[in-house]
Amino acid sequence: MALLEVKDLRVRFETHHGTVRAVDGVSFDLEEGETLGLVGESGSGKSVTNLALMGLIPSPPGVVEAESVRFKERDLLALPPEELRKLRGNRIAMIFQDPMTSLNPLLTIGRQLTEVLELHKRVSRREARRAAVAGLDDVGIPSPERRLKQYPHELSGGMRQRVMIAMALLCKPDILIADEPTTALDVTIQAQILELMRDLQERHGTAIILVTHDLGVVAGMSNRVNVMYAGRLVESAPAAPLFARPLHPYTAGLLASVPTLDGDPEAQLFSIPGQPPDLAALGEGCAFQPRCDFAVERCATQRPTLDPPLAGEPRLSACFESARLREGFSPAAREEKA
Amino acid sequence: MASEENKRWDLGGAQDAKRLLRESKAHKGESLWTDARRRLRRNRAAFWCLVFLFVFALFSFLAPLLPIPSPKALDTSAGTALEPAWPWTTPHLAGEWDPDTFPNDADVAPGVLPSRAYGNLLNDGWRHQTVLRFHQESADIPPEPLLDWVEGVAGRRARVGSLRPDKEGGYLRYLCLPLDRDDAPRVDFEPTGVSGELLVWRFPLAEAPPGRPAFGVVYDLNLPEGLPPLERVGVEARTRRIELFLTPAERPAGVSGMAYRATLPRHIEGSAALVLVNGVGYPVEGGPPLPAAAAKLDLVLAPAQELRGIEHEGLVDRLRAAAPPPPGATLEGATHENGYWELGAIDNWMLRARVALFGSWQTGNWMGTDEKGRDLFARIVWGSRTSILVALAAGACSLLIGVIYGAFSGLMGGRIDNVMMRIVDILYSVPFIFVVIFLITIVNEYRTELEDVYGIDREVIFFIVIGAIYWLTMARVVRGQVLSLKNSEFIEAARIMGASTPRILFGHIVPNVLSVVIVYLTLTIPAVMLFEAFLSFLGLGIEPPKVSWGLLANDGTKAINPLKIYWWLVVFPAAAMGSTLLALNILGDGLRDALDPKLRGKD
Repeated sequence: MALLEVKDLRVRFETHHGTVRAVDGVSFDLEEGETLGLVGESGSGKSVTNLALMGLIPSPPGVVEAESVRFKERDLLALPPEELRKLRGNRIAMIFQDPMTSLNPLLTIGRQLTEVLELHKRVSRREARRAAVAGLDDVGIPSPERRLKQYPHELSGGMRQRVMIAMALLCKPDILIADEPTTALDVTIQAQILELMRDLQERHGTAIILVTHDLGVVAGMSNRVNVMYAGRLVESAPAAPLFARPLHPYTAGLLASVPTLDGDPEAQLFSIPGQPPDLAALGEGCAFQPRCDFAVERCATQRPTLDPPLAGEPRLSACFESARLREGFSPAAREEKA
Repeated sequence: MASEENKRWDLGGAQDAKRLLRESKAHKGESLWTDARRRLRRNRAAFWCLVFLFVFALFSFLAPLLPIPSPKALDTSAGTALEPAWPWTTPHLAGEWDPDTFPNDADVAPGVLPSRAYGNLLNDGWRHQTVLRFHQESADIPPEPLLDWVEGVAGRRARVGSLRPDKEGGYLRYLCLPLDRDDAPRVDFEPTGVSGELLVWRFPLAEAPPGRPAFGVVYDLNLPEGLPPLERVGVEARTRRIELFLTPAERPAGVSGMAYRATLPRHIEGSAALVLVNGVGYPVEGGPPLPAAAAKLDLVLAPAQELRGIEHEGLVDRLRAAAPPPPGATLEGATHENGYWELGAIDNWMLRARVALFGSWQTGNWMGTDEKGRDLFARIVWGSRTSILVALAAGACSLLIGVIYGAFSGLMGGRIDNVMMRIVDILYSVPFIFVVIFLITIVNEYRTELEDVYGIDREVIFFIVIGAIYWLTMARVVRGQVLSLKNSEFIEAARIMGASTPRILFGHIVPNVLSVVIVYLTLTIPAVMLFEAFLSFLGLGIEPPKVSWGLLANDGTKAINPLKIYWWLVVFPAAAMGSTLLALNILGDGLRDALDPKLRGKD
């Protein structure tokens, strides 16, 4: 039994311009201590998926439906709001993309750290303080006692992100949702933060959902990678095989658009042609079909399901033409074709 | 050599760095408030403005205690506004007022007005006295027997006033019982431990004696067993004074009663058998018999000095009940004259304390007088009370209603926000001047009823209107701020941390809005003061003889004419108002800076 089981999660927003299906039938499992990468371009529904898990989709206009979202055998969608609130920050924590704006500028670090404990654990102020010091120490912040009394603007970006991580981990949550945790940081700090997350995961056994559009980060961190496009999962596979051989044209395109050191320095960087579709006006078929080089006739009318491309294979792909991708695909080949 | 080299290049940077390090070390770990306070103190202008405003507020609160003339004491003898008389130019009363040598007895009568140089209790605005009117057939009757008679009953010194013909061909003789030094509160009279409640024994109406039901105040009294339960009756807010009615029969000799008066709260029916004042009990004549257990109360009758003061109506009752006055004169009635409008308990207390402290001494017209001869300084001080009260009311309204309403509306968003903001729009669109005029008209129409039953007078209307208007803009401002804050990541973070909505609202959003709120408040307060001035100018706000800065400004503008410039009527009120508003603005600025954590530890 997995820690978190999501089956057929759907989130739609009823707007004036029609129904936007931000998340459309996403299913995945998360095991204890596992890192799940969630990849996709902006607007593909990654963040909405996470917010839906935490019950934070504003309603109206949002509507969340699912066959089941089970966290430790409890159905998250059926929980009363108060129960869900107790779960948030306690069992499921989250860290944000931009550490610069994710801390309340008016409260000290200590105040914000102890607030989590205050909300979820019955601890005295002194204990909370001690826990906060330990938490800061855990994420490698020097002289944590002094930091407790400082305000967010007195810390650097990396420090603040560490504080956010410390805050998220203070209650020893089962799941940590990291929503692009390193996007706003420079590369050296990125590495430190990722290293820190991996280290903490090993020590606490926390499962991580790592949302990012940085494929390098995903490759280094994740056990399993889910690729989202237009609110749907298009591919789900263990990290290594996915990067070795993507079985969905969108994944392939994403991989091709990563600049590599051994590539031709003169060549133009590859980009997927076209624009992401309007989520309010999705057709019958595959959402990626208009931008896809592999598209065949039925792609426009029929929606591919997320299935193992070969029977028994431990990965899933939602593409009719995954066999062609397997045969051989390289950006170079594509360039020639273009 | 090397050190010399160093010295030459030392521009004090190291010193600076050391100082900075030291200071930053000292300031680490301060709470936001400590830091704000420190930085506010560092900001000289703001700090002194705060001190100024504080002193000013204190002054206006202590107005009855200050030895200044009454703000409503008229003196039209000069026929014009008088220039400021600086302290060193005006002869002020030297020493105490000696009632035996005080001249002009004949002038001491209602409507007879003062000699300016000698400020004193009797003839200047500080008139706090009971004036008795006697009707007599001829002018020849000497006043002395009358005086003796009154003093005998009242147990205090009285003064002979003027004699005037009345309409019926007879004469009116005035006699005054002024408040004097002995009427000031004494230590043993100080109402310590006042519970603020009225305790009465209530009896069915049928058993009540004819006439006025009596009741009294009881302060912290241990009651023996066996007495009927004391009923605690909350004193209505409007009941400012509690009157003690003592009929002559059981009044111990020399006790002249109590200075606390009140109208009986309407919901108390019946009568008391015993009146307790400060633990001193008086049985009531014609009241129900005292319960046997009352004997255990160990009632003490107070010696004369302990209960002093002018007990106006009780006095008249006593005079009527006493032996008939000397032949030729009949008691017509009495009025209680007060140099002020109706004052609350605290103000009355301060007034008495003033007599105890300063006696009859009071300042001259340091800032001149207006054309009706009222002292301008006194009017400014008393007027500031209105302005400050109005400002506080508006400030409290916009803080409480505006911030909570706006924050809630902004946070909820969607339909709720829409509805709430439309309500604000509707209130905005109401032409409040018309509403004020409408309400004031109603109040004037049903004046007595509204004032007696509901305690609604013009000032209350005024405050209601201010309460209705001044939170609107604040609500909008706060809502806008909250809308922009609501989607900021740290609010999202708080939500994800599992914080509840009220916690997010009051723990995260409101503090972030506070700097804007403070700045807006410092704009609101002057605006309200001006609004008050405007309404008073239209004759819809504060009514003369009460005074407010708006009225003063109004008077000042009237006083400027081509023939004679009464500069003091403009300069002093304007200076008072201007300096207050300026101080508020500078303070607001300083507060905003001081509350900004980004400037923390800096100067």
